[in-house]
Amino acid sequence: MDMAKYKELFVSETREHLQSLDENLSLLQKDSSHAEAIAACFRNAHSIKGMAASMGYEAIRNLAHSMEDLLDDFRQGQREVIPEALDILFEGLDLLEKMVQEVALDKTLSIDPQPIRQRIESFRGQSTMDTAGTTPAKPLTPSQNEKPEPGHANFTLRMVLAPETPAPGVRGFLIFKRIREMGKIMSSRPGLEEIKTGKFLDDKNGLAMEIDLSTDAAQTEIVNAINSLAEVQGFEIREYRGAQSRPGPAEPEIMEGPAASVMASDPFAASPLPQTVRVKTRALDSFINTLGEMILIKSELKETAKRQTTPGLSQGLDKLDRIVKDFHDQVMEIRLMPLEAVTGRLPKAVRELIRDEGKKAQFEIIGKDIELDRAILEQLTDPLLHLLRNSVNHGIEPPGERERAGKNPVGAILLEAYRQRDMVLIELRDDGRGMDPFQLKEIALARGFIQPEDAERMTDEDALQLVFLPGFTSAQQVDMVSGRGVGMDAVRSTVEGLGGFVTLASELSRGTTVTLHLPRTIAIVNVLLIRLAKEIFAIPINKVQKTVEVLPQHLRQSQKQKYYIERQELIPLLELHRFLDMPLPENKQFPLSALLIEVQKRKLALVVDEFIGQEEAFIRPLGKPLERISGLAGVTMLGDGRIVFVLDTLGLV
Amino acid sequence: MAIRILIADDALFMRNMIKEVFTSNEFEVVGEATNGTEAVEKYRELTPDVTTMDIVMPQKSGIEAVRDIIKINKDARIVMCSALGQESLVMEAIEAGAADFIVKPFKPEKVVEIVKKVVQL
Repeated sequence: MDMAKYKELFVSETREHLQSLDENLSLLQKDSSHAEAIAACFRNAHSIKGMAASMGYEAIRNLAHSMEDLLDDFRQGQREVIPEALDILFEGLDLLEKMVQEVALDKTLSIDPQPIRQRIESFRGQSTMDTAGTTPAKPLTPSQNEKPEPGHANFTLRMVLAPETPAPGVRGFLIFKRIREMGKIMSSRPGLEEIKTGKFLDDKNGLAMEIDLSTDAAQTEIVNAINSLAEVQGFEIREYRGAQSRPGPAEPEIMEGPAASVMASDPFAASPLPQTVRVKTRALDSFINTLGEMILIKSELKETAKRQTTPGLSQGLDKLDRIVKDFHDQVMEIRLMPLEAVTGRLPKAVRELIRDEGKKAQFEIIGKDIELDRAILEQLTDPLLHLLRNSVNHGIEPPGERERAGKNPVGAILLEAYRQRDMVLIELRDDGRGMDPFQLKEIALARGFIQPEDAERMTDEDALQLVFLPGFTSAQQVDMVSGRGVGMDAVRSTVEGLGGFVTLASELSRGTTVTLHLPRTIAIVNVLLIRLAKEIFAIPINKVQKTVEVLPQHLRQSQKQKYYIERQELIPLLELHRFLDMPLPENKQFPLSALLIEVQKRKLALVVDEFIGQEEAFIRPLGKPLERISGLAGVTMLGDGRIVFVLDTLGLV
Repeated sequence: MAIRILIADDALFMRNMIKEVFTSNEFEVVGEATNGTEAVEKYRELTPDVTTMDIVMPQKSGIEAVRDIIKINKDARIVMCSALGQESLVMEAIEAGAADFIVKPFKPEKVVEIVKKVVQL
């Protein structure tokens, strides 16, 4: 695999550089002014740093970086090549060799370069201060606010974070907190509040913070403690010099103490920028669109990469994959809104409904803080209102009837939302009269939706599903609240258009529960692409049990129904074309391509013309009026820009 | 002795990603939790060396779970997992007792570094 090939290359090249470092450092031991040797060492360390960085070997990179810095000091003539420096560099070299050995043997990288890096930094820090005539490294602008404890030793600790450290404000805060556990913090630069907002001192290596600590801990203890901090790239510990007034860039440094109030009332003191921003919702929608395109392109690239072996390409794509997925997560988070945005106006609407119908009932909402993608929320108002109207009109009985039935004259309607893994379930429950399967069958018969034989065979559970038939509710029924004609089929198609589904449960005279199963976010879903005649459709892979190639020996025929045999199981075989009113192909050749799906506990084999492939897709809701069509779950765009419909197997069959 | 890890995050995708980081035999993922309440229960049951905790979770938030776990064991080591932009929540979690944090997208080496350091505290 590519990764392994690169690793070998990394190991062999790095070893060459390490060899060269060894030779040149030895030269320097004999002749400390050997300019060429210094230059060579610098180049070696620099190369090792670069290679380690691209392979992701942070520890090796960091150590090489520190050594490079020291070697740079030599190269620039800012420091003399003294034996002590060379010792440290030899030790670093030794450590690098061990680390590369770990890489070569595929061992987990366990060597920690922090201690020696500390020493290199300390060495560099001290030397600069000792050298006469050079400007001190960083101006200390202390202003003493806390007096050191008598009998305690006092130190100035300087920590440097890498410039790309994630959430540096939080990291700085954590460091601050840990150091505070070791003693008393006299002052810090910048101040804590500034650190929390991510403001640091400038340092050529990254983000720096300094803390003056009064402690009775030994220096080694402190060094150990700092070593135990993650993400600290550079560290320096000095004796605390006490208050020194220096002119220079004013850095706020208040800790605790009387001086604090003076600074705080300074009207010109910078206040941190607000932590939140307002974003146009259009921007959120365009994030999602762009993200969808990124995913398509990434899939395309991956396909292309399979056919070529450009070094580094598939590695890069794997990283891209992860990053795109993470980005998707982040965009999803931004798009989330609490259910309350939609349920907020429901109580009032329900109260009016109850009053108008002359009923008595209490309406409660649980889980209004549950978050969903805003695009999904937008579509929920109509269905929820319709379901509530059903509850009030048909579910909850008039108070007199309830009393006679031994129930509390005041009915209860509950809207409860909760999360189940990546779905959000919204249950609408009432303790009314429930749905009568017998009555439902009667209505369906009367309207011609079913035949008497069907009614005979139908279970009570199936009878409940009759309400989802388009036009089942009387056409005259107009939703008084929203002013539109709606029905349960509209509820179902809306929910399915969002990628979810609806379930029903009911018990006569006990009540009814309708549950909307919704995806929490607009998901990126794996779809199977199939061809029917000239059209391409997509089906979410999670709805397909498997794909099969059907040969004549797999078929059985019984009356008008064809069956596909699998492991002695007879599975009805149907052409998917029929469900979509598409023309059947002529001259069907074996093997036939078919999908095995399961719909409401029944297995079906659906014949298609061809399997085209799999893709990761971003399914978008159809919107009105297409969303009313059962069988369509949404729409997605292929890599080449074609738009295909995503099928919903439940709605189709 | 392998470092025993409990992963708390409501997204399967994230739990899998984090699990991938801990595949070497220095680590052992001893359990997973999908919400704050489960996180506390599993902590009690498994007493892991380190718990990775998502900040935003259903039922009980990551921060509350941190508080509850610290009540069970004040030396519990919890590493918060957050997305960019949740800085103040992370700091709240740290005040509540979380030992460290990682930010998505995270580099596996970084996660390993932080977990190892946290264990040594």
